Amino acid sequence: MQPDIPAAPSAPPVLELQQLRTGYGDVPVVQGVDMRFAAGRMTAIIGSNGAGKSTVIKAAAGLLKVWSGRVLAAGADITREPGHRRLARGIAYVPQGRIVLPEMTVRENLELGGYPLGSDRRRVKAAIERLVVLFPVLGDRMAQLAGNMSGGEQQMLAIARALMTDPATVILDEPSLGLSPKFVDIVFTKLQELSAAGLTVIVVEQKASKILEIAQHGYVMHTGRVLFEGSGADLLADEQVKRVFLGEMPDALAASATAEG
Amino acid sequence: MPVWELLVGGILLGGLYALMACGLNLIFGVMGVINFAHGDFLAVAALITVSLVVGLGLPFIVAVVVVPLLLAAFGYVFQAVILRRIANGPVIMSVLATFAVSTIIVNGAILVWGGSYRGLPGVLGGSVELFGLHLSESRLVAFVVAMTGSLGVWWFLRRTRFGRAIRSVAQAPELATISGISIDRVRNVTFALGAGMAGLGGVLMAPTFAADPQLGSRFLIKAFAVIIVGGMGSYPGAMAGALLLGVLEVFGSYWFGPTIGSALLFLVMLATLLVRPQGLFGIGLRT
Ligand SMILES: Nc1ncnc2c1ncn2[C@@H]1O[C@H](COP(=O)(O)OP(=O)(O)OP(=O)(O)O)[C@@H](O)[C@H]1O
Ligand SMILES: [Mg+2]
Repeated sequence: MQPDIPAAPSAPPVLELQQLRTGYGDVPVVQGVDMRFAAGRMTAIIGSNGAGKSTVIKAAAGLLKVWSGRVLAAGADITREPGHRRLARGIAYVPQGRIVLPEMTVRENLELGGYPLGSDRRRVKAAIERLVVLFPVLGDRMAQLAGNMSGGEQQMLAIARALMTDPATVILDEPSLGLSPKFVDIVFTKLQELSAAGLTVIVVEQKASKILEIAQHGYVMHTGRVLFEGSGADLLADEQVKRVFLGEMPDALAASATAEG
Repeated sequence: MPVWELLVGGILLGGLYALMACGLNLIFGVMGVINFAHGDFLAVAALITVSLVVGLGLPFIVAVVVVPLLLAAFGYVFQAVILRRIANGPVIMSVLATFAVSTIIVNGAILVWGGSYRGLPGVLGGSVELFGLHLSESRLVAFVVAMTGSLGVWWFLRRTRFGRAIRSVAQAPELATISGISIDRVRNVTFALGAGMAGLGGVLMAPTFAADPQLGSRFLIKAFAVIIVGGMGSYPGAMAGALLLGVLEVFGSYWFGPTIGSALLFLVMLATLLVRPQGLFGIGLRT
């Protein structure tokens, strides 16, 4: 099933979901999902609105109680581990909707992401400097309130913040949501760069064909289940996937989010 | 009585209100919990202070240090053991829990101290002359320590790493979690901090106002007036509202008598609710 990575049975995937079930209140949303995220690979999760993509990765990030099944990080069972410990395991998460603290400056937002670095100012400063190289747009905006930035800049900030502790894995929920086409390209290029530099990237996307072009692996979700799994190229070529999920989707969500921002 | 003297008297009283209201507002802003036991924390702190100073003959300064720590410890345990378990439930649960603790504290205090008023005769009983005004030493000390405490906590929230963590939990709990911040821990510390502030307020009021076990509810409702006028969840709002209402109460009591003076606070509170329900600074726990 995974021809694009060398089979190394000794190295378990950085993150693995086994028969995961979860939902909100007593409404089930995710109904038995298996996913494996191999180290160094970019994996895309696509699917229509309401398919349960965000719900799956929220559970993986420890923000939602898992009903049954398991979440494994490098082989260790972290199903019941509270969400604030994920970063210490090298797993960062960028939620849907480019969430930043609007009343704090760019620097303060980044410092928040660097919370686990402790109170050693030099470490925090070094991390910020490293990220400014990756995201030059943030460099001259350090003292600006995050709320006053454009949507694209806020998304950059949200991604940069998640990378403050230099995690090995980052989970992103629709990083392109509500961005202009130019910024979508910028964000995707950035993801590609990060992935090429060795970061394990797990990305939920509506821009399905675009993300499958750069992802090595992909899952297609529908009504809380995984319908298809395969390499990015295979999924792109699959007639069924093409017909149902890769048509030009009316990206209503994106449009409304742009109107807000 | 000259206007200046009233104004200063009001500001001094406002300092105590600030300490109390800031703690209450901090707890509300970060945890979404309305702590109905907040006034009782203050009352018990005042009564413990009387016991330490009058009963055991310890210096007042000992109470200033020890009693807030005691209350903070109590607050920590209450949050960690009870409130934490119901944090995800409906708001009414935390309301009932703090209300229950309030009742338990009041009745416990009546058992321990009896129902009558207790004061601290002779502690900080002198007066100081400042800019030609005669000010009671106890009120002046209470004001200075209370403002130092409130501003100190504000500085802590603004400038320290953990203070930022507290603010981020207030503004975006999910974001705090994914930044590696334990929300439980932040809530424990926040509640302890608020309880400690109420404790310090109780210690500081003991030399000026006689305390009794039922004092809490009278203070609590004033603290509500303060945070509604200042803005729910806003720290500087609580400080500004406290000073404003302190002054208002003193002027009102002087001109119209203490009954109307106190009632004035609630008139202003009602007016705020009608005209500017977000209060002076009602903008979440910012700045
Ligand atoms: N907080 C919530 N409370 C209750 N139901 C929710 C909540 N969040 C999502 N849902 C429901 O769960 C289902 C899956 O939602 P989810 O957000 O996981 O979908 P998604 O695949 O991420 O969709 P989108 O592409 O629109 O973001 C939907 O039916 C949604 O209504
Ligand atoms: Mg989603």
